[in-house]
Amino acid sequence: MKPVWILARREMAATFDSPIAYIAGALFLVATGLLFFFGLGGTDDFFAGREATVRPLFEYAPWVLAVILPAVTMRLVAEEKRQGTLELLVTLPVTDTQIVLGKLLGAIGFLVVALAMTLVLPGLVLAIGHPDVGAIVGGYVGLLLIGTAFLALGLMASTWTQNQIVAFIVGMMLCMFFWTATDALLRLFLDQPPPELALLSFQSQFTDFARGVIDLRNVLYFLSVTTIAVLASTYSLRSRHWQ
Amino acid sequence: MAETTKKTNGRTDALVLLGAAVGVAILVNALAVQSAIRLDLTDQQVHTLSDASVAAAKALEDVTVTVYISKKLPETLPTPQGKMPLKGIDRAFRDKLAEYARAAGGKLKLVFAEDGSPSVGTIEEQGEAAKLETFSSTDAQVTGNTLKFQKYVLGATFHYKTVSEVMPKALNPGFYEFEMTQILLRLKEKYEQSQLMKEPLAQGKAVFDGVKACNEAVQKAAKVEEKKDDDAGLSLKGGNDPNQKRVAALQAATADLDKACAPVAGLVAGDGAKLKGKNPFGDHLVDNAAEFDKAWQELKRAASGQAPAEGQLPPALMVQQLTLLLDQLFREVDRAHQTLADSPGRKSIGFLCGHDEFCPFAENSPLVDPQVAAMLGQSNPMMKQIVQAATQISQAVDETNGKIGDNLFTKRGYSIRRIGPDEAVPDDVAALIVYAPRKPLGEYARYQLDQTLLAGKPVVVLAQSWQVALLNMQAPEDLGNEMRMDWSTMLPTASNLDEVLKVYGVELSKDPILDSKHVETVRVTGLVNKGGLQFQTQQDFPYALIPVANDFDRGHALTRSLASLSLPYTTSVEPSKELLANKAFDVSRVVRSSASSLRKPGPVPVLPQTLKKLVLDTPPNGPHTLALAVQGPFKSAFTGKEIPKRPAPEDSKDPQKAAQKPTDAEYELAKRAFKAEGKGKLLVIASNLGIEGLSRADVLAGFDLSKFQQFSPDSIKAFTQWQANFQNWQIRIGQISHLLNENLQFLSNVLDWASAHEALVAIRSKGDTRRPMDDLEPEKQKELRLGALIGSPLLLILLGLVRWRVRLRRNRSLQA
Repeated sequence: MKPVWILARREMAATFDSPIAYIAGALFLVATGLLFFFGLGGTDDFFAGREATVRPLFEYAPWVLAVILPAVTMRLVAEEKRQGTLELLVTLPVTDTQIVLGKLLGAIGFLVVALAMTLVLPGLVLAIGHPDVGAIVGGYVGLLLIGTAFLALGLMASTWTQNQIVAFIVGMMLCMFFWTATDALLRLFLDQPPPELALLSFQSQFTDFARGVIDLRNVLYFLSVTTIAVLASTYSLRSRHWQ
Repeated sequence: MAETTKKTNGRTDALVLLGAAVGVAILVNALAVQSAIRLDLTDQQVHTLSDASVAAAKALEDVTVTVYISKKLPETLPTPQGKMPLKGIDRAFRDKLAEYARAAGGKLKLVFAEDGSPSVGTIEEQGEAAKLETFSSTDAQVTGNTLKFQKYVLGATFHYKTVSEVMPKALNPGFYEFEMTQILLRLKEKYEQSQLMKEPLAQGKAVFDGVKACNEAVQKAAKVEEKKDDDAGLSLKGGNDPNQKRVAALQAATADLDKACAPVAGLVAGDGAKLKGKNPFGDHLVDNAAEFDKAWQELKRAASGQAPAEGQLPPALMVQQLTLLLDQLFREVDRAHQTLADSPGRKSIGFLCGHDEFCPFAENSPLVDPQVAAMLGQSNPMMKQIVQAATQISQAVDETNGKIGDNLFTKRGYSIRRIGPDEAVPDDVAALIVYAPRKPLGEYARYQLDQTLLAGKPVVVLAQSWQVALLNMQAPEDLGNEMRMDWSTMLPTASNLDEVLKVYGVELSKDPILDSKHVETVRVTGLVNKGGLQFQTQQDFPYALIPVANDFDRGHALTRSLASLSLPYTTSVEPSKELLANKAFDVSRVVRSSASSLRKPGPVPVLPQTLKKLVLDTPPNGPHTLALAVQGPFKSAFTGKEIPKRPAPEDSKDPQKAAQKPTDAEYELAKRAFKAEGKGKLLVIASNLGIEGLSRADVLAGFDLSKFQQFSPDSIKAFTQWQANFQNWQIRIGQISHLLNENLQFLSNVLDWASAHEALVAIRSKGDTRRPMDDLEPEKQKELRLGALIGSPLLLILLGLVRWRVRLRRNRSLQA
């Protein structure tokens, strides 16, 4: 595990050395804040609702994460491929899986910092009312899991190409697909989609977290998606031997 | 070659391994669907079954729950408050039922209704047959020439031995646990009590079955296909007139109808007569069955072709109307039978009425005797109109009260009883509610309250010391002017509850409680002039007269799981020093206002802005107790006094009441039954929870027939004022309607607490509870918003700059 931690630390340092982390982070915070206070299209004024709740944060943050996180992961492998530093990396005594895990953990570091910066919103709500703290904790655990799954998908996209823009677009499309499109697609092809299939949607799996419930089924689902994306990234990285 | 094979193998291996990983993930997730491992992080464990629910599930052997869930539920449901999200609601419902099944350890079985053959019908049809409530979304289908909204069903029926209960519409996951546990507890009680009520239940069922058989036969025989492209010529001849055809059909089926309907009269006279007087719901059933039989006899006469009496409709029309009437009466019988079947084990809660309080019952007697009204009309047609209008208002008041009682209590499973000022509290009443009287309680009502308390039955008193009218309607002084909508005032009510409660060590203050910070809003409707056109607008104002309480006694069942409570126009209530010093009493300050609250002698200005200024200018002196629960050995307020005699019923127009004149024997009996001391449970809430009483006496204030013997402008003025009074009640309720739902939940908790269902109280409070935020000035809101929006991104960018500077310095030093 040691090489993974070393790689993760290096990756996190590289992320925070580049201006993209700050730009993406600031954009995430501004967008989440605006959506929290005004809702989509400025229709839901937080103060007009007069309810001490952090629910709008959990409603909108996954949308923003689905756009911002692929911007963070796009460079992880694609950039190394383009610059040729990947070849240098693979000569080190680390396996492909360790490289992928290290890069993912580094990106999770960014996610944790970004989410930590949003704590100002629950802090504000706590100062002006009595929200359900348990529900807030549950929501953050959910955001961490969904964010990790988004990062894994973004990382997977980054292993497929040398072009960061392509990696970003593909990563974002994958995240959006899992966040929003599964339901719509199922309904398009199946008149009455079985409830089990509807569970493929990230939205369905996230609802319980936002209510303050950490359900093993939801946790397993996000971990499964992350694991499969990590495996796919590893094989994609390994594919250089087959080309 | 070997290189190519190695590449191909590598690719194949990767694909196989990835495929296997996907397979394992699917398997693990599919297996996990059955798992129940979860962590509920919410404050009140909102999403975890409480011990009381687990115990209720385990207490019954062999419960079968038939679950009805439409195959494809809509994503949202339109409601007056906006779109209600339904996404994932079916899963939440299944999960909750599965949790009960697991908790019951095999004693509770779930059966899911499925689309069946045409004879069984769709899930929605099966649900309707099982008395579930269907609901519609905006999805519609065009069938032929009609547009039909898609029906959905989501609910369940619970069956235990010979009894069953229905969960008609499960659209609020926050209350699933409450509803299901309530049903399980109810099933147990219902079955046990139904064993003691076997005879009346069987008699009721016999009468119901008889009426049902008759109605089915009549409706089947009278069902006539109406030809849409009816030929006018044929109709004139009577050949295709549906009413004529109906008469002919009924005549043809006379023998069958006689066979089906003849037993009804016998059943009413036999089983019905035995049932009468044993149970109020049974009485209702028998009365309706007798009405049904009367209507059937009339139908039989009309269908036989007998010439109509003078003033009666022609037979064909009579038959049509009587067929419809029979069906309506059958529905009444069905409802009454359902109530009777549901009645075992249901505890009655008495509402004291007659003092201008919240009394959710329609009055039994008409406002004006129809004969008197007819006489007045002959002497003066204008008077006739005024009396008619007053009667209409009175009917609207009765209808509203009836609906309130039905929707707030009966439909929620409570059995409520009206206790008039001249009535004794019946033995089968489990608790007494005195709901915000605005007139003083008479000696006899006080005596009833006293003896109910001492008998150990819970007494709940809600107080309304002030009548607040904010931008209400006011009849103009000059008849030529329009009604004004700017009447704002705060007047003391004539309630004497402070005096009544003092004897029991409870000091009810009449000073209103205001708050500067923790408040709810009042919704004000106004007219705005735009471009010469008038538009109605609604605006919410934080209102100091509606304090929000967050300080609760967590040890009390009533407030154990409560997040917050808004108490409109509340005063305060405190225990007396003597009561506090008496260790035999258990005193609990159940609800307290915040430290920023303020007790100030009333009246205070009621316009929101003026009131706010007053509150901000006055130093707070909170917290104050807003609800107080006292339990212990109370002493009678009538010890050493003459026991009051029951007054003669005021309502002499009601023949039943007129027969209930007080007698000496009854008084002697009451004297012997007098209790001087007894352990009791008293709960006093210093607000009406925003639910204001609507009474005929209040709305039709000053209605006196003797004043209307001659027409005068005053009669018109009085009429306008009555209209305004009724509308003002609606306006006042509308102004705080957004917080009524929460308060009704609290009221239901109070009723459960009073009827000894304390386990349910804590469960209900677990439902989605509104947690209002503090009142903030717009400037403060702007500051907080700006701080949160700019603060974090700015901090992140600053961190980036610092890191960049540090790196720059380090690089420079390395280069140096």
